[in-house]
Amino acid sequence: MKTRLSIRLTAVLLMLTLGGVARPIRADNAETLSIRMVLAGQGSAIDPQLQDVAALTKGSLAFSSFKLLDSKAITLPSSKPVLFGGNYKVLLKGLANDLDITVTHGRQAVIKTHVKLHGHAPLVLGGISSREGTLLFVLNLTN
Amino acid sequence: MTTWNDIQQEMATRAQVPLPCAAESFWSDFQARARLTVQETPGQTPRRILWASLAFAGSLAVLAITAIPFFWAPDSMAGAIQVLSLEVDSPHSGAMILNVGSNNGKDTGAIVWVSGLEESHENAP
Repeated sequence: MKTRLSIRLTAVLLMLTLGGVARPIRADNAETLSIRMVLAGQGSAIDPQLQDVAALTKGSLAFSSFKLLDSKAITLPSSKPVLFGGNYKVLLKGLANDLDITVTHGRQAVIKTHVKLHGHAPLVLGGISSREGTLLFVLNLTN
Repeated sequence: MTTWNDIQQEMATRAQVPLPCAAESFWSDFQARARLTVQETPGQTPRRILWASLAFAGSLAVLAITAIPFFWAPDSMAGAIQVLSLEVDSPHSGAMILNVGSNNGKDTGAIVWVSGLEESHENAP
């Protein structure tokens, strides 16, 4: 009787522990990546949707204005290039924890990087000097 | 007429069947034989299994708890973006990778910054 009870107890504990590990893994499978194309400059206006970027770059980059040029949401993995204005494209390969990012302008690759993204923390890729200011690409997971 | 006593006496003489002994002598003989082999106390084995199972389950739980961070980064580790490689094909003057964290610990992230990178007018639309 006691043996059966102990076996049942062990089975329940095993299921609970494995369930606790498996649930977060399953939750991580659906990954949506947000890509924002931003024009940074020396003005004073900060787009309300770019408050996180302003807070992140404050003290590190000498920009005081941030303007959102375009924003895209992509489900990873994605095989299609993400098109932006000004003939810019972002190519993504892999999942967030093993992601290849290539920013191209026309046919020329500008920046290639391999990253591991975690949580909702933004990754800022920049800066490409243009006539209006400096272009940044901000990538972060949204779920 | 043959009675039961006659039959019993006849069987006793033929088969030499031992007469049933008294209960006291039977049990003393049984205990003497029982002492020859090691006897476990009743209930000892299930308790040992119970403790072994609990110890196994406990160590499994500890292992699972220590393994969770490898599979799932908690919010406190959320800002740790890892930049594993960086390649810049266009002409530039320098590059840096910053892992940034603000004072409130909330605004964390990474900056991959390439300086001296000019927008090519050949590729402009």
